[in-house]
Amino acid sequence: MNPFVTRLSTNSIVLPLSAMMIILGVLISVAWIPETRVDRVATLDPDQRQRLGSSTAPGPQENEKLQERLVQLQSTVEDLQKNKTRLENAIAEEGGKTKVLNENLQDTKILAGLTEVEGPGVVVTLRDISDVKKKIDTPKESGGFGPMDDIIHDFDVLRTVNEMWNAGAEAIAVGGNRIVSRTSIRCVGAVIHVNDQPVSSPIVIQAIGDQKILASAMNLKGGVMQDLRDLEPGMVSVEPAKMIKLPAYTGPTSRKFITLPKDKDAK
Amino acid sequence: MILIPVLCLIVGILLGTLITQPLDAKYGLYVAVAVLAGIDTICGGIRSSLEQKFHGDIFVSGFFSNIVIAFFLAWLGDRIGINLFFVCALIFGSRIFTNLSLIRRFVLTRWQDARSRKQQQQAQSASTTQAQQQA
Repeated sequence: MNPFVTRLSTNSIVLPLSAMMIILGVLISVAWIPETRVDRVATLDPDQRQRLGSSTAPGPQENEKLQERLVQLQSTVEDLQKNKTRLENAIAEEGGKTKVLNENLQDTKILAGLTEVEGPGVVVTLRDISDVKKKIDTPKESGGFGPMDDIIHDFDVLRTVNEMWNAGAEAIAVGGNRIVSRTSIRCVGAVIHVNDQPVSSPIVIQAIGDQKILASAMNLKGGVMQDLRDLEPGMVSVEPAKMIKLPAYTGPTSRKFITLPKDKDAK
Repeated sequence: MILIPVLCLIVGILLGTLITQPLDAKYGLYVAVAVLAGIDTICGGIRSSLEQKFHGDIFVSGFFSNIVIAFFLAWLGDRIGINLFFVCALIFGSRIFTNLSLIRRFVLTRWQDARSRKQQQQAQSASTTQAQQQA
């Protein structure tokens, strides 16, 4: 006979059951997966998550203020850089040696994208499919394979810029943001950020260089623009321009970590 | 009496929400299995009390050992590359179903018994009053 069956009992269940219920409750709420945790927030650092939850996060108003301040500061940077160029020129006028030095400096600054530059080149405009359709006013047809194909992505911009450098472009700006060695082009949510500045369709990419070479690089069969053109030819337009003026780079130029190596052999 | 454990469950959940540190995602799975084990043990406890076989010591020790075993099995499964998590989920899930169905049967039978007893009593009392009236 099963020994357990014989142990008939009238023990009260309430007390142990209640105690276990408390523990079970704690376990459940610990194991509970809130909807936000499986989602985007799961990919955030604890630090970022904390900021998300805290009420001190900047609201839209504050964002707007900061944006205004950013524009102001950028114009200040631009002015100061112009001023610097002028001063350097003034110093150079004093003597021949410094003149050579200054020419060298200006060359470097042009290469680094710290000055305004102008010259002939091409202007490539990338548009989201919705902008194209609105403009041409054609009935909606299935051009792409879904909404992901209908918009210009960060990699479209990246590949265009890359192809332009390859085609001998000497200076490039995307939506008025100069492309320099510290440029980032990436996707933040649904918006492309160039140098941390939001850029939206139509995205104007200006490049200074040989017009013919640049234009043909953009129009290469199977080239970077082919995917977009296959979807909707109106998404890309390439126009040569006789004179383009590109702004100076206004992003951060500070450095914390890099120093020039102390080369002992070079003495 | 039935409400006390339910209240305790709510109190436990509230206590758990006081833990502000979010659990690491990989341990969340193990705790989930442990929760399953806990629910199973509690269902088993209720069932055994309905069967008049409830023992506090067996219940409490079973609760903790089940939770620990479930947690450990799920953890071990991840370490050795076999998803023992699913084993725990399957076993405890099926046991919860069995226990709940048994509880349902007990409660239903008890209720039906009580009802038929009442009807019998009423019929009896009615017949006795009839008999009295006839007498």
